[in-house]
Amino acid sequence: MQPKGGFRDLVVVDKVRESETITSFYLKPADPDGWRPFEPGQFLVFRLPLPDETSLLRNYSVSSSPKAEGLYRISVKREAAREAGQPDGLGSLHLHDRTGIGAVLKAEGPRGGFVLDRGSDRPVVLLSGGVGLTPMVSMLHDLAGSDRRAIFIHACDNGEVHALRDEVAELVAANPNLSAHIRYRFPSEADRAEARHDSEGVVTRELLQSLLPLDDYDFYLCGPPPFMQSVFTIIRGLGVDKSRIAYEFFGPATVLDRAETEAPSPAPAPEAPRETAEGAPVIEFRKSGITVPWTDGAESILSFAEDQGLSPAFSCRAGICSTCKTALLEGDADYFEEPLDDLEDGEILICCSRPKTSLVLDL
Amino acid sequence: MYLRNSWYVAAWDSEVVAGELKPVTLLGENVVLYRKKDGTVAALEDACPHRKLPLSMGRIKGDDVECGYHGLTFDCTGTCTRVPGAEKIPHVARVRSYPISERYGLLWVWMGDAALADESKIFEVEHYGDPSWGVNRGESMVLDCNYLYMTDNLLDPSHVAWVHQSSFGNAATEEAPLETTVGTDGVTVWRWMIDVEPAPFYAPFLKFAGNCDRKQHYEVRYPSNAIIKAIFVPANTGGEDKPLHEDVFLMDSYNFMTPVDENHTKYYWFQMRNFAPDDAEISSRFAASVRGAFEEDRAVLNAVHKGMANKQTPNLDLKIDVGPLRFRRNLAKRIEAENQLAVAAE
Repeated sequence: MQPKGGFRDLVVVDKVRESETITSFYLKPADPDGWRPFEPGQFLVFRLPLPDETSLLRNYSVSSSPKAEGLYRISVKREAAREAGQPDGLGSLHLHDRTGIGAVLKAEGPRGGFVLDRGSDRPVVLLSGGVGLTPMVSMLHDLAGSDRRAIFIHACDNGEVHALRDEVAELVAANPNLSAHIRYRFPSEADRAEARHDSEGVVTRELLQSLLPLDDYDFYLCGPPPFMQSVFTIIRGLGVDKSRIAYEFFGPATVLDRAETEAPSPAPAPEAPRETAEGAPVIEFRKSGITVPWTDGAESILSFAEDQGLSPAFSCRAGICSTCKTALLEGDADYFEEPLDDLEDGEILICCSRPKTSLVLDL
Repeated sequence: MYLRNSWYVAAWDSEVVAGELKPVTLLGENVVLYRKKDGTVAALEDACPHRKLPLSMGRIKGDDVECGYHGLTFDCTGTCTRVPGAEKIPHVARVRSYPISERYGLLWVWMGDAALADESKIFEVEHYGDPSWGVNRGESMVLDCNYLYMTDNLLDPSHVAWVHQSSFGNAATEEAPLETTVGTDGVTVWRWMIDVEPAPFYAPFLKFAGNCDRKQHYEVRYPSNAIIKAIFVPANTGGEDKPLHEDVFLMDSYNFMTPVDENHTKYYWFQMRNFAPDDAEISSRFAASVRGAFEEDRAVLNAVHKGMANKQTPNLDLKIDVGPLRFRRNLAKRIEAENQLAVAAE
């Protein structure tokens, strides 16, 4: 039997440019028996080599259909530096610029709790911004052929950066239970001429009210932090219960800090959701750019971090050696083993603790 | 660093014979032991206050000790009774005397404030003197290591599978998870192993055949005394909080570690068993086997002390070190509290 966890080799079998900024990579396990099925919405963790011979970990959602066994597709945005002097997105540069067909990538997973709830029969609203559409497209594939109603609402700047447009259009055309609404913030003349989008502007309360007849929906949100913040606030304002909203942040986590000052906010600057719809704390591994909801039952923050593909230093895993000491930037944790050594404020032993609130860790 | 307000074993009682001065070193202090006319033992600082010649190089005079250099004489309380050639005995001419008590065939010395010495605080040995229990009379040895490597070792059942492969260990000792209990007077690390083969060392003495349930109970109490309990019952009759099967094999090993100094430890031990109380053959067989096993520990711990004292790269602490490190930390706190108290008293 194939062991479930661990990094294994995925071979790039195709590389397709989807938009100005987004490119898809089609991946097959190097070991033909190494296929691990995924749920729509899950991501793979990649260990990407850097020119300086170190490596970094990046999560990319699978954008392909879970029904297409044996093949994963990830669709990756080339993250250029937002300001002069800031580095470009190292992971995406490696994939876009240095990874071709035949290349082998180290990947772990699939993982992640942001998945389509197949047990629910409520209609589905998939709301994505920018490259946040990737897990949504996978969910759309999964919903195709069923009789569960789903609407895909996607916001991005314009047709130049709009990936997987034809794929979504074909899915919607072929499946009467699916519909889509595409909204561009800055449409070009060509977009208008070819009617590539359905409306102009950002996602507003009025737009959602017009698209969504009164009903009890399951909401799925994915996109960059400003988008998430505003959409979350709007749908909460429409009276949607938190338990009906699942979400996942996209983009480097450092963007979270800048978002409030930089991005033109379509809604009054809302608070980022600090817990999941189910009330689980959210753990941000800031250095790694990973933000994920805590999995109930995870043994410790350390083992949870390992589940996300991180490799924090550790030795005893019992609170005595302090090897796993980490800076706790925000939040509170509970110890299930009392640390042997006293800790300073803002320090945490992650091997013997679990979150009390949402956490931001310097990992 | 030592906890001073504690009883430490200074010698086997048989090592202090009438008419002989017995020098020992505990906690870096030189002490001389001798028997008084009534047979009880006295313990004095082993250094004449004149030129610091060890009193153990002198002579016993009645219940007093006479220095072998100029004849200064001290009674069993440390008071100077004679300074040959001096008109008056200086008040400052005295040596420290230590509270001492004989129990379990061992001589226990109180190394702290004599006013606090309380014999009820001497380590309690259950079943001692019970005619249905036998004693494997032990021995002693010096290890070239700090005493805390010994307390580590005696809170560490997992080393058995590697250090004592021929005796106490068997494959099962690698597998079962360890529990750690931190109590008020020490730390206990323990586990039950269910339905395992008895270890070769104990197998010939079990009253039942076949597999066993085995408990390892490793307990170290402050400052540095340990009781290791080996419990064997027929397979699937054992477990925590269950009454012990009537055929239970019990062996309690008592281990008393006296720091000689920071780099040497004097180790005293004996064992109590719940069978064949008067069988001298069994006693001596056990005593010989235990000695062999402890020699295995000595070789390892001497080398560990050297390795840790001269490490070139950092060492690791692992999950198996939870008990030992909790013990060390709590002992350090007690030592610190004692030092603060001592400073406050000055």
